[in-house]
Amino acid sequence: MNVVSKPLPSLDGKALMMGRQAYTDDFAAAGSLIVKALRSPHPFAKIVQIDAAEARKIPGVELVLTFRDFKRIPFTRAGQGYPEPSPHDKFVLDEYVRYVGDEVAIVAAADAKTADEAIAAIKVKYELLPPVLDCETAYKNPSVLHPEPEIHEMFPIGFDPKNNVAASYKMNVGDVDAVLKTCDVVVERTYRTSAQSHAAMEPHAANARFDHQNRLVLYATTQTPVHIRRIISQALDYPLAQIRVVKPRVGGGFGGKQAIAAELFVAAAAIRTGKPCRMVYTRKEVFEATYTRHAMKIDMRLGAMKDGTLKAIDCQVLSDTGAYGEHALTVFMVTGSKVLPLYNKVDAVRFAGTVVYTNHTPAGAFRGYGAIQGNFALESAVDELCAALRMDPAAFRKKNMMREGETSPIFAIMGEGTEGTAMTMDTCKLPFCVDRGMELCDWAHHFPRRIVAKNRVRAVGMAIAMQGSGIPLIDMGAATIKLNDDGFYNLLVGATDIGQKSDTVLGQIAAEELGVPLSRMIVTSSDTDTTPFDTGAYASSTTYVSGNAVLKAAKKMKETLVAEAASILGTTRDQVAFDGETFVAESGRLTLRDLSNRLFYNHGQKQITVTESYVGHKSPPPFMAGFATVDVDTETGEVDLVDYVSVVDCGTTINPKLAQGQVEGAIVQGIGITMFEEPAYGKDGKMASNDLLTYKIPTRLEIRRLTTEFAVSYEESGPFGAKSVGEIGIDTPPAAIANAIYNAVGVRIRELPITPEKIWRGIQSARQSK
Amino acid sequence: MKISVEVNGLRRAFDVEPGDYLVDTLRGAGLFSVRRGCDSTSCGICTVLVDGRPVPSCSYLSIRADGRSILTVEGIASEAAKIADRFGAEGADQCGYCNPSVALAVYALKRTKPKASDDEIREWLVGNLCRCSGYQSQLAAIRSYLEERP
Amino acid sequence: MRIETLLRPASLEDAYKAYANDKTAVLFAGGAWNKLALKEVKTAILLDDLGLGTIEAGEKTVEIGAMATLSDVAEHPAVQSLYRGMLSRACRHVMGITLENVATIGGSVMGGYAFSDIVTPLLAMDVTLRFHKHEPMKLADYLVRKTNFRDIFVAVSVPRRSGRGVFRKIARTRLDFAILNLAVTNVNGLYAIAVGARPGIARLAASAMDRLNEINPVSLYDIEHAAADAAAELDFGTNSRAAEDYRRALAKIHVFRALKEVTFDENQR
Repeated sequence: MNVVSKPLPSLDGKALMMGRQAYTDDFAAAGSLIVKALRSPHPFAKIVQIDAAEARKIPGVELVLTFRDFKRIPFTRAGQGYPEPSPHDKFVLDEYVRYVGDEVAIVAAADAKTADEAIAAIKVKYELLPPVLDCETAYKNPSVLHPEPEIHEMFPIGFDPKNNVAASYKMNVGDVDAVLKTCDVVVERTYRTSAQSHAAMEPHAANARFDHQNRLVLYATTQTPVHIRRIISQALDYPLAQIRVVKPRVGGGFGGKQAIAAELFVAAAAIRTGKPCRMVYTRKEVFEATYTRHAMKIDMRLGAMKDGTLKAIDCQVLSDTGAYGEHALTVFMVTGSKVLPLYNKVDAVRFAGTVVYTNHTPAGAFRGYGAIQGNFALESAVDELCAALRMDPAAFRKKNMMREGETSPIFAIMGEGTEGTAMTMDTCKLPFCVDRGMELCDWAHHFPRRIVAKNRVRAVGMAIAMQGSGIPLIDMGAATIKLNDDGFYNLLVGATDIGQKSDTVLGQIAAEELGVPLSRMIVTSSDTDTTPFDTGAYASSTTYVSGNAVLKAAKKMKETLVAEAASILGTTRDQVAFDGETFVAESGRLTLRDLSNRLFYNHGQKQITVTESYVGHKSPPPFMAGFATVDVDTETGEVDLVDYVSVVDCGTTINPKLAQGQVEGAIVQGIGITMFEEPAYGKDGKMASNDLLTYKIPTRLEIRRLTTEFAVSYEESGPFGAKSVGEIGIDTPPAAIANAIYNAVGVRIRELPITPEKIWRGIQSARQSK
Repeated sequence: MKISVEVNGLRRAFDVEPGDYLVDTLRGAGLFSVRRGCDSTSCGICTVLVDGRPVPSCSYLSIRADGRSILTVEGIASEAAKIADRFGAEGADQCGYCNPSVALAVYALKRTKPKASDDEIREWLVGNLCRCSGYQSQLAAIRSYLEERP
Repeated sequence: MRIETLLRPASLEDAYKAYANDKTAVLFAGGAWNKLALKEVKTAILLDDLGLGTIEAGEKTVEIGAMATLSDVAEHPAVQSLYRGMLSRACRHVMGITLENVATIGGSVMGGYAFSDIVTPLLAMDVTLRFHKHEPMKLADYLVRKTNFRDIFVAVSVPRRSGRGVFRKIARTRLDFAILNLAVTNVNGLYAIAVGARPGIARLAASAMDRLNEINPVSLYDIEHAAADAAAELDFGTNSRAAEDYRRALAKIHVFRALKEVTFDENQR
């Protein structure tokens, strides 16, 4: 390999470091109207009266929109393929507001100061309704969040809004209750994970203008430009062909930019005023009024025999989707589908649950997408089972976990909102990942714990995880390769680079196949007018799905070029050898450069462009083993995370350094939800942790050491053997750290975050009960 | 209120409101690298150098910059390119949104504590958040930049 | 922020008059907290031009000007030599160097922030606050003053005593507000114990100190008791960051460890 598997620097890193014009707000048209939202101060209320007359009178205020100004069209904001597995339960503006931060009115004004004045001048009378602020009381609560008659599901997802249910699902393999009765040991526990905020460094932004053809052009911080275009068309009843969405550089998404946000308002304002409009969310708005992770309560039952054979898994989930149902079903299903198959040899497995509406900030897509929540529950329960069995947790996992060549019935049953896709694990290096990880963290020396100083204990804990590589039979990616004079290429992909450097990775795939250095592959992405379709950056689909499309296109380009060269050299295709630079046949030689110039200017002129698409027929999971080494202060419960070891099987790493960055960035987000990030709602339903002052993500001083390695693995169905690597890193830290804490001080924490205070309390009650 | 500020080596005049913050004055002057990450002085994304020292421009009244010298990443282009090379070699860049602010802080570090240890690098940059990289690769890149002869 | 009128007085007297005579006027030192707390200010008084940013090491005291930034304080050799660098360390544990480059010692003290990491070590160091007009006041007295007065805070006067000191801040992450902070000093067998972010503002554990300071030499047993006394004597409370009982437990454990360090350890971190 000359390009693939090489740690090449990214295509855009230097320019971004140098501060070039690159991100959404950088491209707002000069003189744009500033768009802002008036947001609900109440968690649940009906707008009884709304009067914008005074606001409209203020000089410089061009537009004030309320729910009466929009056609009543239900849609979903979720960034998913159509028809979406999320309920169409949203209106652009509604007469109900359902969370603190929900939009009440949209304002467009000459400058920010005037926009603020306009917002302050809008008079609203609310009828307060009893809010549902606890997901455990949502089901059948007399306060119904979505009484609207027009809302609906696109296909059966268990949508039952009268009972505050956004989605539900159940499945089983075998008879779990019967099998549990035969088990020597049964462990039954409840785990809770909190809503996590993405906290991407770039706040959400969008701007819109009309171009020279009077078409609506948007720049947006989005992971899904094609979905955005479609949603705007539907929700605003605007012709799809008249909308163009461009995604420039994006400052992080992690799922938080997968669903639509500011784009709708900026589009509506531009359409009504005819003027360019821009909107940048404040950090408070990003916290309160975009999306969070789904908080979940997971009841887990595991049954095993004395010899350590795991026989049954029963997993019941209650998921809090907040005020609207974006990604409600699919996140919840991944909690089962990308977690439970880890122990594929059980006799019975059951997965069921409900996703409920509450008056919280809407939950949506967030890296891991249910798998991190499910992994915390399952992998903690496994260690609790091992404690009951008196078995080494590493040995237990090796005995029961998925192996290469095996399958799980869950794959065929559970898809994302639809039936699944059966698949065999053509690559699964979990045994290597576990063994190597144990070596790297010196498991044998440290498990369960070692006293390192007075009042200080060092311990290790582990977890294994899997994820997916795109959604089979649903996610499609496409790539166009265009030949230029001078023998270089344009690669056009819909695939959405949001900082994970997919432009570079896809460029590497194309360059490798076409035998050119990366510098000869100019990558352009995510412009709905000029780049071919791609579902967007989610479900860990980019390297595998979009990458396969790129590979197909590169292969096709190569064939086409060889055919051209053969014709020019007066021979047949099979007589021509091509190394990326030169076509060689017995009858003569021709450089690519000469060929391209000839095709542009001289003889038999034509533009060679190829487009190929790819839809996955399976979703080969990446796997990993994560090991946390912690030092715990046995008096105070304070924890130092000494090292986090990750051994990952993601198939080929197209760019090893960038792949490592994906794993480590995800690990640290996983450490965040485990130890530091504590979203909180006040009794008034307002998100209390709504800025970076109160919501603490890990800093450089909490992350002492990360040790990351990759297993040697080659997935035949993936481009150059690659699977995916975007999400897998986030799944293991919650259970690995919880298990390490238990090993250190015998305190089992089942509700995130794991804080020193909780550990201290655990130590105190253990002492008291002795 | 009229102020005179040296920005990236050029003397510039600005007309500012008393309550204007430096982040908006600089960004309004066309410096795309100067940006907001939060509303609460908590993230470091808005870092610029005022008289050589990293400062949160979102909390620094523009009026206080009168007579001072400011550097943004546009003003240290060749050093930023060198830092970028180091980041590129380690795969430490992802979304890039924090990179200009980190580059300025690193530039100041090299001129203040060129022999900084890993812990001193972490301490110097602790107020510059990154949500993408996990910090480890950035540390390697910064160490390598510090070790490089100026 | 919206500021209607901005003043940049060139003398202390001008600054004082503007501030004392106008109840709506707001002083701007570093301005970081003002930016968070205030949306509209009628009259802002910038203190940049009053020459209050210096740090001077005298024979008996180190005079830290009110406009000295936390970074200035952290880096100054005279401050680093006080109590083995305890105050410098505290200044570097606030919220990152960028913020510490603008936040001032004056703002930290006058702000009266309960979470302050600066007030705690200053309290343990028995500092005196100097104002433009008002009599110098011990920080300990200022914190419990019965009447407010509008004056320009000019400098912190830190007595130069040769002793050991330890500052600890317990927080979720390095950039967070303290769950608890404490400063413990030992000057020739005389101890001071200050605990802050209780969540209330720093207080000296006066009775615990009195009892401990009667004993010479001090044993591990005495120190254990002193820590228990301090934890029992001080008030703690619950907020979103921690519960009262945990704070009290942390105080007891960390005060003990800090007392041990300033008593028995030769080398301090």
